[in-house]
Amino acid sequence: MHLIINGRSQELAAVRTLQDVIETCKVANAIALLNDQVIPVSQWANTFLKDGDALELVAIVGGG
Amino acid sequence: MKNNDNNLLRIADREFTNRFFLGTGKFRSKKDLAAAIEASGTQIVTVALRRIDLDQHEDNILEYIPKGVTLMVNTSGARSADEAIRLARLAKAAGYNPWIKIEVINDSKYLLPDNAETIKATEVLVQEGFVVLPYVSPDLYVARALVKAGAAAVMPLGSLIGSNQGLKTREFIKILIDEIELPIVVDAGIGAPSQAAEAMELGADAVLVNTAVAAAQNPSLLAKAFAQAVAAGRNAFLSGLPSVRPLASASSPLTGFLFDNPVPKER
Amino acid sequence: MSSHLRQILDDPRPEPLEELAQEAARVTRQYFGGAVTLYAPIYLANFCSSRCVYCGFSSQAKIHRRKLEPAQYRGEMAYLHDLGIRNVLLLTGESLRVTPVAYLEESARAAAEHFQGIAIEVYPMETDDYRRLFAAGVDGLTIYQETYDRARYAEVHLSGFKKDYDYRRATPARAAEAGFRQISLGVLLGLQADAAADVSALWEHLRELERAYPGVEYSVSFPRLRPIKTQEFVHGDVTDVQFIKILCLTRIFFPRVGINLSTRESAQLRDHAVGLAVTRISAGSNTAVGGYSVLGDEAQDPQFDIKDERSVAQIVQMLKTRGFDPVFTDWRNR
Repeated sequence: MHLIINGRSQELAAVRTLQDVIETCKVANAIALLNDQVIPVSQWANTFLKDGDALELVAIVGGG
Repeated sequence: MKNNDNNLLRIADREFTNRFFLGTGKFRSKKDLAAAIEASGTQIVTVALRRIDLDQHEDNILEYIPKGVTLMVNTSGARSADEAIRLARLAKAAGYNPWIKIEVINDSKYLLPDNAETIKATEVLVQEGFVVLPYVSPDLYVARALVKAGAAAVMPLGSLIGSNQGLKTREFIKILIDEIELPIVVDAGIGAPSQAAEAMELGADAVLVNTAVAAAQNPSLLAKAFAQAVAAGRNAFLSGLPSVRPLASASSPLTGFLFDNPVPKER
Repeated sequence: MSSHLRQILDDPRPEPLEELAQEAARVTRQYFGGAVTLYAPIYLANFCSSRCVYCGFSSQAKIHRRKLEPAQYRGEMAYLHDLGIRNVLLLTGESLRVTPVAYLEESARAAAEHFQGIAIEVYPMETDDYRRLFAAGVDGLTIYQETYDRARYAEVHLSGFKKDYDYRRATPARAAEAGFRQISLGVLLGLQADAAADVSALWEHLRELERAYPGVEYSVSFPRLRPIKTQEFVHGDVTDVQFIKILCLTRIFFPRVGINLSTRESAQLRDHAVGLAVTRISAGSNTAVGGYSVLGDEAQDPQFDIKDERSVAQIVQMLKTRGFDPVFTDWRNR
């Protein structure tokens, strides 16, 4: 599936849901946005993606 | 009158017994951060939101921050009110504590905050139920606008971020302390515990430090020193420091006319 | 606060007084430089429906009641303008009937042709009335509570407008709401026995106003009654030393607030008080209605007796000699 993740085009094989992407990218602590909407963790497994979807994966990091 | 006449610091609906706030950026390692948090006993830390770098695996910083510590998401990276608002909403939608430090910087030379955009963001986010602590250049009109907007505190900079120059804005911070009813948290530019103590002696309600601790050779020891300095400065303020009096000028007596004889010279 | 102040007022030692004066002088110089603002009063009318035991215009007093018509007050204004005065204080007694807001409005418009700064010291009124006067060119209000002690206040204000303590105390706020830029408060020292209580209450009132209306430029005045046989209403005695202490402490607590000294005080005291704390004085004053140009030798019936009778030119000379800068115009307002 062709996705735009954090602004970069990515081809990810064998992903159907947001949960799949999270596991593939190993980013379990992410805040995930699909087409600019925050998707709560509880919904990741139910969120089906399609070609061309834009994902933002953001996390809490150190900062002032 | 402020509600902080004793040692308990009240911001919004929370109380803090430690007036040293710690920023979590720039630490060489997350273990250093954890040690600094523990050594200082800080009860409130700032964190940021960043896009995850998919090529690198980073530990989840939250695992290094004890559960009882209040997390304040900093909107660092935002260059406008809209960007700050978006970041804040993101944090809230993801289920994080709606305490936000608004930091809007559109200046890469000095990293000075954009006061006007900060006011705008504060107005919007307060309406949406956030506890907002705006980071600004100390200015009385700006502070008044923030009070009006419903900010929970005001965070004036002491000097430029990362400069370790201490209280360059001392006189202006004093004005805010005297005139603004909200807690005043001095943020940015505090490079040494003595500077933190100085801010507290002036009457500031708390101090936030990041760079100095993160860059220290021994972050946890410096964090501890900062916490001690903040407590010392606070006690000094509460004790009612005798004011520093300039040497009396030896000009001629001004009140001699009230008596038949001139006022005798002192000592 | 008032007990601390009482201690300071009662302290007989001269050295702390000198220290206090040095500090007040330093603060005055720091915030005002050498500037001393000059102004003159114009009494437009002395009709009054209030009965205040201490006032020469009291409705009980048997004096000639006069009200200046436009030609007359224009004459007073031209006279003062020629002397160099550019800040004027328009006064009337408290009579809504004889000197209604419309009368004040007209006189303000006339004053605006002659002066840059126009203040009024008249009966308290509603915010909308102040707005009318502001639009006519008035931007300063002088209103003294006289005493903040309710019991004493009731004793000395026997009838009329002035009887309402709360309405009077809330007046500065109403004027501030209407946009007035300069507001002057005061107490009549000697009216009650406890001067410290009144001065403290005045300071409190001032702090309240500063917080609520930070854009206003405030000043204070401490007109002083001395106990003399004909003035039984004087219950307290504030000596010269105590008076200077009050002025100095006010200066130190309120570095930016103007401090006014009226011509009730002697020339000697006024001269020394300038530079210690005082930053506003009246010059060439006459407290009778039409006293400058209308009355001539007729009985003047002044509101109070003036002790410093120096002309504008003499005051200017005194100030310059002592290193101060007489200021006639505040260009900010016009």
